[in-house]
Amino acid sequence: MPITRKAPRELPVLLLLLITTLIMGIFVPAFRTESNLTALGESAAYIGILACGEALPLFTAGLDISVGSTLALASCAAATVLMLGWPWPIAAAVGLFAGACAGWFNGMLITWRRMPPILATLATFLIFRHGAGILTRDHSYGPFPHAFNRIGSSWVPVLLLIAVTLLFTFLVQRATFGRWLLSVGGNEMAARLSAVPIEKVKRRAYLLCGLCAGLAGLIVMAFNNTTQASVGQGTELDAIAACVVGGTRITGGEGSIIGAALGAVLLALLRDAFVLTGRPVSQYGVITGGVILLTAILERLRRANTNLQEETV
Amino acid sequence: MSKARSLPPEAGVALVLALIIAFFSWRAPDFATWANIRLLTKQSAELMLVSLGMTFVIATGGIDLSVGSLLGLSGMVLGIVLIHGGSPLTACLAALGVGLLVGALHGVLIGRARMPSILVTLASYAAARAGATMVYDGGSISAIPLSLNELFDNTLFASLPVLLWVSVIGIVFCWVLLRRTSFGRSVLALGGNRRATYLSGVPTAHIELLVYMLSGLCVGLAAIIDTALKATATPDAGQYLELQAITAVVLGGTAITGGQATILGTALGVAVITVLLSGVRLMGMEDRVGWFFVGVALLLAVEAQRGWKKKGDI
Repeated sequence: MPITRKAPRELPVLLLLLITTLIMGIFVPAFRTESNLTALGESAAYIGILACGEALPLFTAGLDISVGSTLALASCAAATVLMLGWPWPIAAAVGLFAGACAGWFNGMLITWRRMPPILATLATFLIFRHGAGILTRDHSYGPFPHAFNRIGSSWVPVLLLIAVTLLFTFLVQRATFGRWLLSVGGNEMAARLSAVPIEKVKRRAYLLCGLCAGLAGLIVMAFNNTTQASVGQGTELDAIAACVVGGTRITGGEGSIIGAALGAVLLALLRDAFVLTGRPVSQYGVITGGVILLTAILERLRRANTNLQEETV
Repeated sequence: MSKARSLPPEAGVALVLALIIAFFSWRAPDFATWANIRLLTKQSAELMLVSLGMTFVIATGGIDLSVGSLLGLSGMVLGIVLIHGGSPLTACLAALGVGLLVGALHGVLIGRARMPSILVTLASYAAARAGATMVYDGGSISAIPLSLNELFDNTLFASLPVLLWVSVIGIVFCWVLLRRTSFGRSVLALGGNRRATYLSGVPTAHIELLVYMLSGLCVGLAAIIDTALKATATPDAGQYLELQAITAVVLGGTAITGGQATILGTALGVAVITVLLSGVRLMGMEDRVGWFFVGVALLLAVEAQRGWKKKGDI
């Protein structure tokens, strides 16, 4: 911990968020309509929940590229159960369980089989999504019972996002698990020598990440009232971008859950702005890419002030 | 490195390739025909070039996630130059230029400014794909002259496809570059221990700049081939290409942590992926089954490679 108090990591994203909201609120009347705000809340919520989960592996200097595929897998599992006519709480539980299983599998590959996280989750990125596609034969599910769709309607997604953010913030900042997470990412050797159960911490991080992806999958399918194996393509990019924008270091050891959630809201807001100003969504990648690069440069400048010696080589 | 490693790192992937070929020759109709083999050599050239470039990037311990999107962007630039009346040569040079330019940008940010390669290339993964759709407002360009198509669709020496020769020349060139030049030695040293390499007087930032430019150049070449073969430039060309290339390189036995690389292994890895995807198609199944097995193959490859690395580091 540095002795001098620096500006909080979340400050840049918070400022960007406020500026964007103000501009949108004042100059774009369509932004203030209720339907737009509901849609915005839904996309912010699922990206945010994915990002809260993604932040945990990032804290340990790992990475989970498979969250978008996990989201698809979980939503397909839940949809299958719903279509059988079972009550929605069971379907939701099955979806969450499928997400957690996927996360657990990633965790096992990374800890038990000691695979580099980027390769393990790259492989499961393909396996989960295309496995779901093979199992469901690319069937499209829906519509779902009204009781289930409440998960994705009005303010429920936003409340879920707030709940997840608060829970994870508590977990990272106040619980031992959080201290362990950041210490593993900061210096794995030092953490090991201080008797931190590294394997256990990593497994839990990936498991919680998968669980979050499962929850995000439920929200997406409830909002769309339909789902198939190709749902949520490219959301892993949004999740990682949200974390990075929110001040999480991709090399591990530093970051904040609140920042990740705010980053997700910012990305959702920018996408909304993109759509409302009549641009095709396919060009929105310029914003994601630009925001990632900008924060990477900011982070680089921030690092340059502290430990120049180590980093320039 | 462990003391006794009797088998070369390519042995595993060669075995996998032999097994897959044997399986498809047995099960898939029309797999073991000359026509299909010629088709495969043609199809694999694009992935081969990109994977060769990726081998150097991974050998330095970095990663380039942007290759697929960059291929889309380069192809679209090629198309737009043709539409505005440029000659095919100018268009190809423009496509190569885009690849080199983006590669150089990566190289400067990663090598000089020491930003994480995964972040920098993730940003251009998103931005280059969006850029590809912006070039022609999301539309495809089919005004590709027939001469360009014929150039790559032709045969040369011993009536082998031109693209097979392109692959062979690429492999030989990269092998010499990695094994027989000081540049290649610096790349491997850089991936092994960056600080030690820097302290022994190797201009690490310069080497990394060249490595990412090489990757960009390979993508530019692949974009020309892709556009010429399809006779269309589409903004979503090269989707999943980064996945295929990384998988091919790792399948081949190059260490993802850097410092150890094999060109021959990469070539074999490309062959495995091409054969797997086309064999699955020939058996009458959808592409997603092939993708599923590419994922499984990647896991198996990493698992096999883990056995070669020294155990218990940390």
